[in-house]
Amino acid sequence: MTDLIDEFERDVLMRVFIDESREILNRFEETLVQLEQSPNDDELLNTIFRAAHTMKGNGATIGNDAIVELAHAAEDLLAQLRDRRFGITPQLITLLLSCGDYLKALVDRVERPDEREVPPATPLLEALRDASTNGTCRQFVKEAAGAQAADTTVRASVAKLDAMLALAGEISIARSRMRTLIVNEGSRYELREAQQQLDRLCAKLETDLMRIRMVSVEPLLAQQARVIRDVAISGGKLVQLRCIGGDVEADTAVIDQLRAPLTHMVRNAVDHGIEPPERRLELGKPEVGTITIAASHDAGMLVLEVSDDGAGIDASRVLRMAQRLGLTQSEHLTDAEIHRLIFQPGFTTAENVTGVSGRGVGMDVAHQSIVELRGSIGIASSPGEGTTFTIRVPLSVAIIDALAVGVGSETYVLPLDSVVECLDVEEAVLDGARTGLLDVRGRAIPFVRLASCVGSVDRFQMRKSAVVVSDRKRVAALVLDRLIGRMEAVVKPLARLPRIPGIGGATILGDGNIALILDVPRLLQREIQEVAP
Amino acid sequence: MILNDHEFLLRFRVNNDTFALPITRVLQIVDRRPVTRVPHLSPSIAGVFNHDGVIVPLVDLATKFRIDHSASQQRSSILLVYADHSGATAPIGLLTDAVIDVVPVRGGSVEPPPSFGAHVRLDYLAGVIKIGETFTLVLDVDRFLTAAELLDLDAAREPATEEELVFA
Repeated sequence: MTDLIDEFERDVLMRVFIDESREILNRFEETLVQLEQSPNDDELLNTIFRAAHTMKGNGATIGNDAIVELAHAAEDLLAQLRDRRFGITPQLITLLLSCGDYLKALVDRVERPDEREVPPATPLLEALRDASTNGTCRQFVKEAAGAQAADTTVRASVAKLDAMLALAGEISIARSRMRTLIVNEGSRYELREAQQQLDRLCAKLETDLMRIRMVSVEPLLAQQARVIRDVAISGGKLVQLRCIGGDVEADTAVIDQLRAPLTHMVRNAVDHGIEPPERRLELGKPEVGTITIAASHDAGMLVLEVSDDGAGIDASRVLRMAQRLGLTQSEHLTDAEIHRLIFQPGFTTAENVTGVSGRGVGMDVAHQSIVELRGSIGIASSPGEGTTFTIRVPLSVAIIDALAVGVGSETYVLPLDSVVECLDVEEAVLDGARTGLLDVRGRAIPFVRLASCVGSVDRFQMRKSAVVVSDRKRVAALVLDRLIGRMEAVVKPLARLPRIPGIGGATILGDGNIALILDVPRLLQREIQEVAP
Repeated sequence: MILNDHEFLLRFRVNNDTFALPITRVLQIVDRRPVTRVPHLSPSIAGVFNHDGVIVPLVDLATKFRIDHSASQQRSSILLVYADHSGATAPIGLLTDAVIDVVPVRGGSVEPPPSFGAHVRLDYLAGVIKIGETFTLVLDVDRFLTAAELLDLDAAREPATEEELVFA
């Protein structure tokens, strides 16, 4: 038994260590990037020094020598810098940032010990020691940073948890009242009242839980400073980051899923947007380019505006490239239509691939990730002045308005925001075909049988239902057996399963069974790929 | 996966074969319950089921190990197991015919997996343990449920890998 408790305590200790370390290392990284901008700020240097020192201490508490050794070497160098023995050079900042990356990889390994081996830190340690003695940085082999953490945590105040605990208590009282009423055969009126009270309490608990999941976008925005720095250095550009609205909050899952697309867009802005410093001076712009990320709330949506003061999108070049890549045949497109072409799969303007961006698998993937969050991206660009991407995503992905539908004995759920309308159709009209065109008040809309999309057996029935769905790009009708009704679906991940095309998650129905949630954009994409030769 | 002498094994039956898992990996034994089919997955995944509000995939061991289906089967118990050591990720369900008992590893001797003679693919086995007169195949849960095995080949052409490349 004591073994079990020890193991449990050890697990808790490790969890605390991992969460805290990631937080410290992120701060370490952000502050280093700031320090590069203002090398004389003692306060920044102290913050970095404290971060390294804390990492060393924390590493020692869990007995991880590799972390202790590396953090100690970094601390030594930082002590020299704090005493102003040497100047702060970009090379030293790069060295310290690599050190942070390496520490992150070591922390990842603490979390998942059986995953890939972290290569020895010897070159990095030698470089750090060299730098501490003479303030210069020689070339060292840069190791790839570890994978991003899969598991995220949120912090909740004890007061909030207490309030929720009190609610849970209320709910259990309401439940026992309900039970008593049922046993004693209480009146219809009393039962109804008890049920309403239970509903109200549960809804309150749900709101409180959602509230706790809300976190600030600040860390997400601040992380981009590092991205900008790395891309700017490798591309010979000078770029600064400006963040607005860091106190804006959104659901932690949304923030997590925004990380990859946002990073991608910021990279693109530095690589394709901002001009080289000489060119900027010629144009009469400030030498240092600015990327602004502004976060705000608008009608239940989180809005992120990523703007640069760079060259803007060259519409004629984009059109030329798109034509060459066979993405469009049309000659007469508006600027707005041309801008949307950069979200087409396979689009790239880079004549030579830079290794940062321009591989042609980028903006379409960023776009797709945003669509998966049921959001959208807008572009505004004026030549010579810069480009603004506006990302809009729902604040939370946990609960959606949905339509439940039936195919054979199975139930599926469609997000209501993708549903245009529902109709009755006769099997005779469909003519037994798997796909075809449906006449909806004179408009030809392609239809596909849901049964065939999800690989279930289609039952013959004279009257079928059709749900017209849209993902803003395409409209299609899904033919199915019956409409069940509107519901509020709590979206749950399909844990441990790979991503399944066309399935966005799952939800639990009133009877305790599971229904899969259809991912309409993916489903349509998949069907169109299958139908077209 | 290494078996220690002080560990206990949970033995269960799939058709006529006896399998075992370290008891520390088994979270709970639950009755068979309604399962929702998930399209485009390998046939060995029977679907997903609801366990206290968590969605858990259910592996049909008989199908996975290609054990003869024709024999009468109860398929009545689901083992909820942690498929990785840390227990940080959600559990998976294993569909079995019946749970037999719990035995100490000490009681028998663990041998490496036989090179032939078992119906089961060798890479799922941690070893074979002889208890009394019965041979029990000890499963290696760490190698269970890898993503590649889960997806139906038909659905695997989805360009999801490209995405992972970009954002890795």
